[in-house]
Amino acid sequence: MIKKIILTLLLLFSVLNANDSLTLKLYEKVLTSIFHSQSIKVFVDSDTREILQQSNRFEIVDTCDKSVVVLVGKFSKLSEICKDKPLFSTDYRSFKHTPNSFGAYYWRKGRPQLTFKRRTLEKYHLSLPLALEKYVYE
Amino acid sequence: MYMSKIVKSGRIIYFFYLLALTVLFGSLYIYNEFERTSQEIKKLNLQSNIHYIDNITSNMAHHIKNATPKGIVKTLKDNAHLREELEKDLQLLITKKYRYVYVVDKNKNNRNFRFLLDGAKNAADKSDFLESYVPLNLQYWNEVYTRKKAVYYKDKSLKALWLTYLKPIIVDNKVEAIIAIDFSLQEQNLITSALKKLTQTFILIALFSLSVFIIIIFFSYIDRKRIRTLQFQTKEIQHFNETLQEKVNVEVAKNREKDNMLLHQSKLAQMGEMISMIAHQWRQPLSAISATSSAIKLKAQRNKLDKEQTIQLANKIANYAQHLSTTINDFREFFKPNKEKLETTYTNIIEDVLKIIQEPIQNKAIKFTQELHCEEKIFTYPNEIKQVILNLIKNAEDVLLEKQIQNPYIKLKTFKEAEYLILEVSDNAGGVPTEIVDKIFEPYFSTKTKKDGTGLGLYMSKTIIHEHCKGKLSVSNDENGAVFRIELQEIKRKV
Ligand SMILES: Nc1ncnc2c1ncn2[C@@H]1O[C@H](COP(=O)(O)OP(=O)(O)OP(=O)(O)O)[C@@H](O)[C@H]1O
Ligand SMILES: [Mg+2]
Repeated sequence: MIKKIILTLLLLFSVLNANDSLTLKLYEKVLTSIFHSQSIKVFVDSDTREILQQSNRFEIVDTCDKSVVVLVGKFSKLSEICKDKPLFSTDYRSFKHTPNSFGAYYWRKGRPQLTFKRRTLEKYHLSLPLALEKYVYE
Repeated sequence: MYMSKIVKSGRIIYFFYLLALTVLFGSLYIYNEFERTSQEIKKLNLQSNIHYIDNITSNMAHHIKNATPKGIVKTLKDNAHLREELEKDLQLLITKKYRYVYVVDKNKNNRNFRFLLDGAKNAADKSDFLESYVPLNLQYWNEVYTRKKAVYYKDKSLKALWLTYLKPIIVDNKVEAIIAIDFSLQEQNLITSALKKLTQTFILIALFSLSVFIIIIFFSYIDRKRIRTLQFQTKEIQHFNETLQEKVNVEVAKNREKDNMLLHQSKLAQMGEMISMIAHQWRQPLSAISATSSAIKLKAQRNKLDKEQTIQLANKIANYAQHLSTTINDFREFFKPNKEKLETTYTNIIEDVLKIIQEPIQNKAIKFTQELHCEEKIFTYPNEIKQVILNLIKNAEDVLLEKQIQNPYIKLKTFKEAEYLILEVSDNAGGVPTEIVDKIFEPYFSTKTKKDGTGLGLYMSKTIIHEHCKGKLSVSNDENGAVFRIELQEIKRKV
């Protein structure tokens, strides 16, 4: 019985970890290819912080003015300074309704979704690598 | 009864073989059967699920088609209210089992999928109208468009717990949209895992019976080996016993041969003894014959032999020759075990003896007296007794002549003493010296060197009296000389 519980826990853990590391890799790939930097200064909310902490490609900063990019779920609570920064969302609606949001990574029907906004990218003079061009929908 | 026979014969082991084999093959068969059935159950379960979901989605497809007469995208774009209505319908389907129910189509401009309707209850996961969508395993989704038929697949990345069912909404033989349902296979997986557990149990049983089988075979092998060595040993012992019997038989045969030889030898010895006895008894008559013939010769040389004398001397010789012949007859029967006894008296026997011996003794100037006081019947071998008396008289004569006794005599006396009938032969030669009295009855003991004595006379006499006649022969000395005494039992009248 105990064995079974331990096994289930282990499995669950590894699944969670795998998802996290998958997400982290995606962030690394997407953000480094857009911002062309070895260590990207990023302002995050608590959800995303946990994931990004595990990588040395990101430098997590306390305030938005120090950051190059802001990576959060909801933008409504952000200060005006933050809202001026290039925003990367983890929520589709925030991404859709916030003009400064250039991209988003979120889950739909259990499937991960990546999307970009052409207008916002151009506004911040950000260019996408060719591999990501196909994720530009609007 | 039959069982115990089998057990005894050691054939019980075959029963175990059979049992073990049955268990083994039985469990293998059951396992195989079970595997097959469990596969079928899985398949049937999946099929029934698919069948059910296909019914639902085709109903839904009809419903949506009917609600959007101007084309799905076009109608829904203009009518937010209808969208809401239809999404509510989709929402009704959502349960624990049917997690996501939504409708997508392929954007004709950029060939990407986009949401048209979403049955999500959770606002966070609720997609917007025309929101772009990148499903995993895109090839299946495209396949719906090309094949215009429902497609389903297990999403490997979702740990195979979910099956995605894609149902096309076909308008004018064209796929307008896809109804997608993600439904849980947990139920199925529960069944599968239960079946798996059973399978494991069966494998365990099969392994167990296999090991039992192997153990039984192993032990029976050992047992067989043991029995074989036992049988071998038994055979060896049997063989040994058989050869032993043979050996015993051979030895017994050898022994019998030896016995025969001994018998033969003893017969020869007896014959020898008989011949010595005959020879012993012949001496006296032979010397008498020889003396008589010498007398005839002497008288003839002197021309003193008249007719009367010749006849007389010839008769004498004839008598002695007759005696020689009777002696042979007497001893011929000597060693026969069942020879016939006769009824007689001492007087009769003595009469016979005197016929032979009286004259020669008187010729030697030995006085011969008889005191016969016994006329009782004895049941014995008279010829043998006769020879004994002859021996005793001859011995007395020998010693009397040797010692040149004055007025020598030999006395025969018979009388009855209690139940015994006694015959005594006595002389006046001074008796047997005490130092040899113990030895005189032994064979080949003789003091007569001059006369060349054989020492057989008394031995023979004792044998006859003791062994044949069941009587007694003894010696004693009286004031004049030796007294030899024969004791025989009086006959007991039975008939
Ligand atoms: N009447 C007797 N008196 C004294 N001694 C005797 C008398 N009879 C026998 N013996 C002794 O017993 C011995 C044995 O006698 P036996 O008749 O056995 O043999 P033998 O007379 O010597 O020989 P054979 O009988 O061949 O002439 C004699 O040699 C003799 O010494
Ligand atoms: Mg003698």
